[in-house]
Amino acid sequence: MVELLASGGTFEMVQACAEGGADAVYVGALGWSRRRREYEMDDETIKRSADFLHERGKKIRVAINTLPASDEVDLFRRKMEKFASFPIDDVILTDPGLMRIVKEEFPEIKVHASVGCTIVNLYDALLYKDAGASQVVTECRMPLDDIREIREKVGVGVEVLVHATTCYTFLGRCTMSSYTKFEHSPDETGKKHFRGSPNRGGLCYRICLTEWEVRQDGGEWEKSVVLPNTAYFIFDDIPALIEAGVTTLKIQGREYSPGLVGEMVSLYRRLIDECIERGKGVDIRPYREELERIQSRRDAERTEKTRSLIREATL
Amino acid sequence: MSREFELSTDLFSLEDLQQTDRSLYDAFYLGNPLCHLYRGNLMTEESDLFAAVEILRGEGKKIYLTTPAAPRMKEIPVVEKALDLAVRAKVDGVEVNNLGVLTLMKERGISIPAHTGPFANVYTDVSARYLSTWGVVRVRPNPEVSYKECVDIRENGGVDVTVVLHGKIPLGVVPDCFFTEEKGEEVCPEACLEPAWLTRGEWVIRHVGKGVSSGLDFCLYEHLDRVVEGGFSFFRIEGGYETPEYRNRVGKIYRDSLEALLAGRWVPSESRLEELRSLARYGLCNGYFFGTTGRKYFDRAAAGGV
Repeated sequence: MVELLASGGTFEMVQACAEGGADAVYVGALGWSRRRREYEMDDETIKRSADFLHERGKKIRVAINTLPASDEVDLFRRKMEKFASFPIDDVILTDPGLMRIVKEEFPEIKVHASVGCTIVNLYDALLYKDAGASQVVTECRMPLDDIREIREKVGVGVEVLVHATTCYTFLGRCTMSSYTKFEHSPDETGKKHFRGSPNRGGLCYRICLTEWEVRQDGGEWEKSVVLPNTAYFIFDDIPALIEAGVTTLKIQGREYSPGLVGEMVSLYRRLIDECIERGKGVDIRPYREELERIQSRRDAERTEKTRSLIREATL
Repeated sequence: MSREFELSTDLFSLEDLQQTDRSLYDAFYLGNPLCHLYRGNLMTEESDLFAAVEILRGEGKKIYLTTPAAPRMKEIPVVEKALDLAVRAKVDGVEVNNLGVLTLMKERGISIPAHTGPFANVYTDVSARYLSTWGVVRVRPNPEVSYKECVDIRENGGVDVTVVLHGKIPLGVVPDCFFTEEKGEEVCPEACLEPAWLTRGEWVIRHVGKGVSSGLDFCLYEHLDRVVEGGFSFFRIEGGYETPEYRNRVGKIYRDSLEALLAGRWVPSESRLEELRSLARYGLCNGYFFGTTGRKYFDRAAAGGV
């Protein structure tokens, strides 16, 4: 049965996801996940979320998917010891060295290779499987046939983002934001909080979405461009993804409001359940009308956030 | 202080090779990993690659062949072709940006030493150590990794570490070519020979079609003694998408400086720094070397406080 995974940016959002029908919720450990700190959780809130979800028969997945510094590896081990004691079900990681540590030292916790791993082909998936991943998140634009091939040939679970944002570059392979603004400072535990790097601290200033003046030498080409960075929903392909054996359908969105995320979860829950019950013959038109309303709210929240981030980058 | 070092740069095509003063460098990374359609790309142009290898072998240079940065399944045949050429040309190393290339190499029984490129996202010593189990002998950490972190990887990662000394900072791999998207398919493969400059206020980036880099030139000239003190021996000039004049003048400055430094007689020269400034269209930066914003530049005096 395909799993519906949703984002828990706050405890309130965890509750909204559970009520909306998510099978599992992912949360970000403070300083360790690919979002800024207001959408991450301290250990106490992660424990509270774990208890809340487990009481309802749901799973919690903790994102520790930034790329840390070498001198933070011991901090990572201590974090894992604590999370294992809660307990949690899975961790989302990007660094293959950290995956190896979890595989060897915390075998009871499943490792999921993050979208930050930029898994674009099945050979990538093979490497992350060797490192310790039992499930991989495929790159946002991966064709369905490639997803099917990974599922069939690699022997790992496959996770597809059904609501997310495609970066202008390959997600996980971009440092445009930190090139313009990047700071870091340690907290009381010694964990460095990197601001401005999505890979290291989660905060991306989305500078690709500013208006750039383009000039090319040796020609007359001068224009303004915005480098597209598109928030998307995968909708019509849900039946095909289920048929291809995808393990998890993931709704990203820790930075959105809990109510909006709850509505997304509820919509996908109903669509997935009907697809499972009726196969490819599902009439998605009624769902689409609801999606359009959600999409316009999502776009309004996102546009405001993007303006604010670009402003922040210039300060 | 006396020790050996290797100074390398990139050569995308045979034409690049012919126009570059190769005496300045000890090793060359051949081919353009961002786009296999790049004109004369040594990564896949068989006859050009063999001609290049013959020239470089005759000159006693080390030869490394690059591989595609982010190949989807439909591009795996391009990777396979590059690996096949690497084996037949008996190159000294293969540069890997996409970690899947390591598993493909193993599947095909290819045991050429692997070097990771900037997009392989090596940030930690534990990752470097893990990748060494896949045949990686040298890593070039992600550009965001600071000097101190590079030292940690070199000391504890079980692999050699390449430090880039100069050139544009790779900032991203782009799935769809900027030029063909904006201008139409017919502009390929000529359009990217002249990069586009994207500016917004004081921000500037360079677009080469399938990749984005810094608009400023990353420069460690003033901090060369600090780099060498870190125990590094492998240095690189980012020479792709640059002119032969750029590779020659920058290479000369760094070769002379490294030799002088390792002989204990180097002092930073203002005229050399000015020459590097003159080659940088939009100025210099230190990237993330000091752990701060990539586009900032700290001179020797300012760097002491970082």
